[in-house]
Amino acid sequence: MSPTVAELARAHARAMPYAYLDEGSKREVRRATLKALALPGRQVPFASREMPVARGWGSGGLQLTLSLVGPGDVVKVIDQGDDASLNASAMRDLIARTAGVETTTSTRAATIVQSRHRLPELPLRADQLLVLQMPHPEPLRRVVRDPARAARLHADGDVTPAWVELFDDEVRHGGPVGGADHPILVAGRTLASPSPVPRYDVLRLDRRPHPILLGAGRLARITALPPWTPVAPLAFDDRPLAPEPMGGPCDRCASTTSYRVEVRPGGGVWRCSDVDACRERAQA
Amino acid sequence: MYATLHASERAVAAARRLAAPEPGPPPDGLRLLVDQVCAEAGTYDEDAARRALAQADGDVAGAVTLLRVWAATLPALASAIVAPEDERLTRRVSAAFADVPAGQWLGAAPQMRSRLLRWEPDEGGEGEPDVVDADEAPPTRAAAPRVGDLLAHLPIAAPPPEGDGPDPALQPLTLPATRGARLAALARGETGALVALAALGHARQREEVLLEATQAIVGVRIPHPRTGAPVRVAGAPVSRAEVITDAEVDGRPGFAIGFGATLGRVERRAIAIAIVDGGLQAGGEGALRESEILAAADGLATSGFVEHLCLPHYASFASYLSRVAADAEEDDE
Repeated sequence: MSPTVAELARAHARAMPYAYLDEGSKREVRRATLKALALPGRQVPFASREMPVARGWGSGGLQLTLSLVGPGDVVKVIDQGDDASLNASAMRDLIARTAGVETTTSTRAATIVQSRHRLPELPLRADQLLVLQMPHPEPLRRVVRDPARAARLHADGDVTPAWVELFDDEVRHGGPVGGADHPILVAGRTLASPSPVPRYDVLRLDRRPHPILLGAGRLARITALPPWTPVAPLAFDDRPLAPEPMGGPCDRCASTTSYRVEVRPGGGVWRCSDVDACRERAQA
Repeated sequence: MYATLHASERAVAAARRLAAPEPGPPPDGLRLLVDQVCAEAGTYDEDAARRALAQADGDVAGAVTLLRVWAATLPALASAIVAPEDERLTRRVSAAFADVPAGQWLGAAPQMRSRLLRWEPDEGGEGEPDVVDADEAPPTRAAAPRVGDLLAHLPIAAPPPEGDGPDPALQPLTLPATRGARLAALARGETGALVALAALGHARQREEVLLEATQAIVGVRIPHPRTGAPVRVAGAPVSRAEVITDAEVDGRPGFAIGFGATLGRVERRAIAIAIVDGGLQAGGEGALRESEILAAADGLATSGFVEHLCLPHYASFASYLSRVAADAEEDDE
């Protein structure tokens, strides 16, 4: 027996589609992703949906992942390098529950890695995909207040304000003072934000064999770095960008080359932020 | 003519009746809404806030008005400054360090709840476990040093002199305000306005990191009328936040630590105030001005302005038009 109109109306908007997003929303994200891949480093607008995570909590990365995930995928979600972060774990649960995929904490086992503020330290392969959550897609936002003017500058290939900001920091402070989110030059010409990854990670973005997709849900932009894209930090030839200075070796795996953070203020104990890479090193 | 006594009395009465809420008891639950109303009113009384919400038909600004009007003519007793021992933490998180002295305590975390609309009482249930008592009680503020105090080795802008802020309900705000007066005024700012001001301030800073957010039940003590010894007469939930942001210190890159506190458990209020306070300390080109912030933060003042446009402006409007009309006539001549 076919359903009545009343039954259809009652059921309307109560069922959840595969991978949470409806097909129209997925298509919107995919189209913007394809455009972003064709224009490496550019900020491509997309109709960002209201997601079941707060804006600024990874809604852009989540929309990218959900628009791309399929039944055969294995998904890893990290926040600051840590799979156990509550926010990462909530998104991982949502992806697994709605897309019916396996999840993992192993970088090597994942087909999609969604990350906030870190590039996984174990190198990703060409068959893997890195999705980065990005709060601020506009690298000129601190020096060019008007977004319309910033867009025009990008279109003209004129990124002078970013160089002026860098020069200003150099003259007044002896180097960039921005910390994470140091601007990058993509393919030698397009100025982009790498998302707030530490400078240590900015220096690891060049010519990766896998695609990197950056999603800003709150500001509704997608940026892509296709495989093997040349990426360089914005820096003067005689003032190369330096990674963050770190105090001691990791107290778990003893690495002196990983990205490490001080566990408690002034405590002198340093620990890898990438939990999976640290575990692998500790077991080796 | 409307809104004057020339209007039909029956029409005015009917209009008033149309605006009256459905009769019924004050709402149960809705704890965070009640806390928001109390915070914006600057008066913590859950029962009064529920009545105000019911009487205002759920309009938050209306409920805040009722609560503030009610409290305005009650006698105000000076209470003692809250001692750190009287501040029993119920939540304490740091986004800056994983491991802080006296530990992180998640407490109630509304941000961690599902954001999917539920249609059935148990549909999409999260299999929520019962809340069990912790092995140990969370500490008081006395046993948990402020995370900001652990960063003394960094170049941090000297905060403006601390001190008791005057009660904004009792004393006029004059500019430039002391930091205490500013923080007291922001403590009862409108939630949406505080968040918007924080977003505007954030656009002018490189970064903000939440050093610490706490919620606590604070004990309120007043001097005993006979002995003068401070006695605890009430407790109220308070949210506090400290946010570190970039600031120039003696011409070098450094930091400023912003602070925010508010009644109730709506945490974003305290975080937003801390961002605003940090931005004001950092200053610099394009920073928001204190006067603009304080003018925009008070919800009753801003709603009052916007809604007063419903009052008749017949006389002033004629005067307002006449200036331009006179100019136009002169041009014609």
